[in-house]
Amino acid sequence: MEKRRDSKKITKHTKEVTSLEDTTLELRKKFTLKYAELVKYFPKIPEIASREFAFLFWDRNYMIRHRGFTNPQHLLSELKNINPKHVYHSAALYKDPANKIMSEKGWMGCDFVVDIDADHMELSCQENHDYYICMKCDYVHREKVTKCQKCEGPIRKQIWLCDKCLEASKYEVIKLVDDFLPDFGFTKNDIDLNFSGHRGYHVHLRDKFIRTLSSEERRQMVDYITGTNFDPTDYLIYKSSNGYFIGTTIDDAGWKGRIARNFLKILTTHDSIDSFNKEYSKYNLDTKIKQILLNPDNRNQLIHQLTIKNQYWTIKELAKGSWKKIKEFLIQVSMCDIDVPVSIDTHRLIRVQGSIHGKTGFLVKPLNYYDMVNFEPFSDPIIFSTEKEACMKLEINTPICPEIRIKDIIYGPYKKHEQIEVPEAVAIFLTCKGVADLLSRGN
Amino acid sequence: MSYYNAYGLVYKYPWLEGGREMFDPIVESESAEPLVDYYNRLFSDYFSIYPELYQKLLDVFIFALDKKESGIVLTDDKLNIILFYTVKTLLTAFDNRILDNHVANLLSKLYHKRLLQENPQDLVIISKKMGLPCHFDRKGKDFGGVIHHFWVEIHQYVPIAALLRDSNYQLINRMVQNGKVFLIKDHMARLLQEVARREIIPDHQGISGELLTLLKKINPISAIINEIAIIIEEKKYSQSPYEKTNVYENMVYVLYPPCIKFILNKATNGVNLTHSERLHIAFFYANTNHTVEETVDVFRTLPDFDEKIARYNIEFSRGIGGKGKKYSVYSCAKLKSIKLCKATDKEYGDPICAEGVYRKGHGDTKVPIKNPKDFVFWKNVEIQRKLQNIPKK
Repeated sequence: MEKRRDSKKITKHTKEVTSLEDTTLELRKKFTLKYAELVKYFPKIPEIASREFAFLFWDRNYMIRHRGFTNPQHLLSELKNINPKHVYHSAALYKDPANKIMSEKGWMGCDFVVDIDADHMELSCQENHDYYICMKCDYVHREKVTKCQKCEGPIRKQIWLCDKCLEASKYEVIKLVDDFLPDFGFTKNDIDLNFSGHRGYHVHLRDKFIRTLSSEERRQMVDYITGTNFDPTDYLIYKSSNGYFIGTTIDDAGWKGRIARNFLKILTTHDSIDSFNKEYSKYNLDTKIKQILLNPDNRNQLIHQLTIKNQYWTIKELAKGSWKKIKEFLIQVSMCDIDVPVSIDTHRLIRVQGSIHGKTGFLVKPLNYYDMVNFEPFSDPIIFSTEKEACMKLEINTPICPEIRIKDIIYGPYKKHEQIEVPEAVAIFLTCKGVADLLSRGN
Repeated sequence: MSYYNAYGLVYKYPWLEGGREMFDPIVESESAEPLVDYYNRLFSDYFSIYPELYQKLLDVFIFALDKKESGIVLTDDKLNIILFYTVKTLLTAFDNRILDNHVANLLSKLYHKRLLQENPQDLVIISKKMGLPCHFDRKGKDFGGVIHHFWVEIHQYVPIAALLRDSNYQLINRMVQNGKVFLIKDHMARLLQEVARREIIPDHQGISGELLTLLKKINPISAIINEIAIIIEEKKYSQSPYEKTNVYENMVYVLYPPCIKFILNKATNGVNLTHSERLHIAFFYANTNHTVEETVDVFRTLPDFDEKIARYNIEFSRGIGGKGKKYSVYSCAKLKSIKLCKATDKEYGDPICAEGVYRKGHGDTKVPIKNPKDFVFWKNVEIQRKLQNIPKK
């Protein structure tokens, strides 16, 4: 896709920044109007009458919880009336979802929700767009700090999103759906998937059996997905006396087979260190080991051993220590990076599909698996106007505002006090992110 | 093909359907006879028909407490049913978790050996009756050279795996494919052993005192009760009356230590808490049977409340996520060092915190408590003593 840069600056600084209240009020109005439009497209919420709903507002920093709606119309009319910033419902189903006492709600079960979000992943792009900014002196820290290194002032974290973040999230969703859920007996048709509206995706499983699982039982499934407590006692060990590594075969079930399949996939996909590093540099596998593995003879020998389902892997140059590192690498590559507490919690609140994310103005868009593969997170969930005719004027209020792509245009980066005129969708994104204020209309 | 008749299975595995009724017909037909008379008659019959019952019962408890497995032979007739339910009745009466576990471990291991001797078809039948249905495939699946003939649906497997500490049985270390968990016979028998173990441990519905009184009136049983009581005492497996119930299961405001009451009061009044105060609440609640929701609710009234952050921190303190480390309650020494100890506070202070408590082996000297959980325990003791009019020392 062709990406253009666009940053129309207002050169004469004559505009006056509105108060925070006015910016909030304007955003609130925009959301209200948009909800009125979205009503007819609002996706069906399964078992709506058994779910607790919760809202966060523009002008209050606490959550209103324990709301119940008997039907979608009731919820939608409420959304138009109360104009929330964020809308959540419980993953759990209750007999009395509006009861304010948790123990009296009458828990009936809980969807198994997997939250895959770049927030908790370690990604190289975060260094380029996530900052720790001093609220006192505006000093920008690239590394995590709890107080300002310059003036010891309090810190706010400015989280951003980019194509790499969302690609990483999508990669993990595909891994979850293609590789892990079939082990549990779930197909692509059994999942309910949505873009979170920010830096990731939510996968909902609503099968009868999975809903009844306790937290401890859910942990069994979560550990399986994240590779936690994987304990291969009689395989993935090097036999010095025989000079081979007891590996696994691609036909094995569970994690045993996953290790062999991933090893085969890596070896068949990458024939050079450059190509290997493009995908796996973050795992820090020793260069020497990579050279040995990707040496054409060794690589072909391993591919052959894996293809003929020989579980004894032999490469002359690799000894115990190297195989141990390869084992650790293969385990890390095979893990799926999910937000663990979300899946374990049996009372979790989760963002409502079809609502608008209050930190971006993006739609929390329901997707089927195949839609997700081709989903464009900076285009498809954009619901506010990107037309130049609907431009809004803003002043940047943060010392560093990274670039953001909306559809095929890149906006920014911007500096503090820079006054800009950008389409509605971009303006809403920047103001929702809290990095810009609206300029008063009068000027 | 199974060789069992209708009773055969129940004789071997008494907790299966029909076993209870075979032991105690009163369950089926309500008798007008007084309960003591009924059970006296029932046990007199059992002890006269099966003279070995007395010694077998004693052996179960002696061997269990000595952690010995060999020496007990389970029969596969009605005696086995009588033994099983009499042991369970005695466990209910003693209401001692240590005894429960020792006896359940011993008997379930014996049943594991018995299950291993079953032919595959019978194991399938038994597993269905035990509520953990397995499937048998004669050809089996070859994983790493090991043929796995049995499989269990994942939704049947996960609840039982969550109960087992052995990492070998965690889902991640099993052969999982298309919603099935593949197993060898030994592993299948081990899972069923766990089901049996749960069948042996009684529900403890607060009837122990009443039941013990009743059983003491039944001749051969009262003698067994005395002998078991002596063994328990010798082995020092007796529980203090205060340990019998988990005090944290019913935390009421009066049991909260002064430092926690002080913080709760601040939170209720919408005053922002310091970092240490937040951690102290989160750690204390995590270690005293409070749910995540209850903990989140404490923070909900704070002006800077952010549900996502609060929930994340609370879950982190409980070892959910992060490094999986569950944090302990702050010690009193730590609380003093961060000026959070309210032992002598006019409004919240309590003599248990300020002066300590009388403990065995310390004569007339009061011993200081070490952490806020000690306070909960001793406050509960104080309340129980007041209710029973027991002097403090």
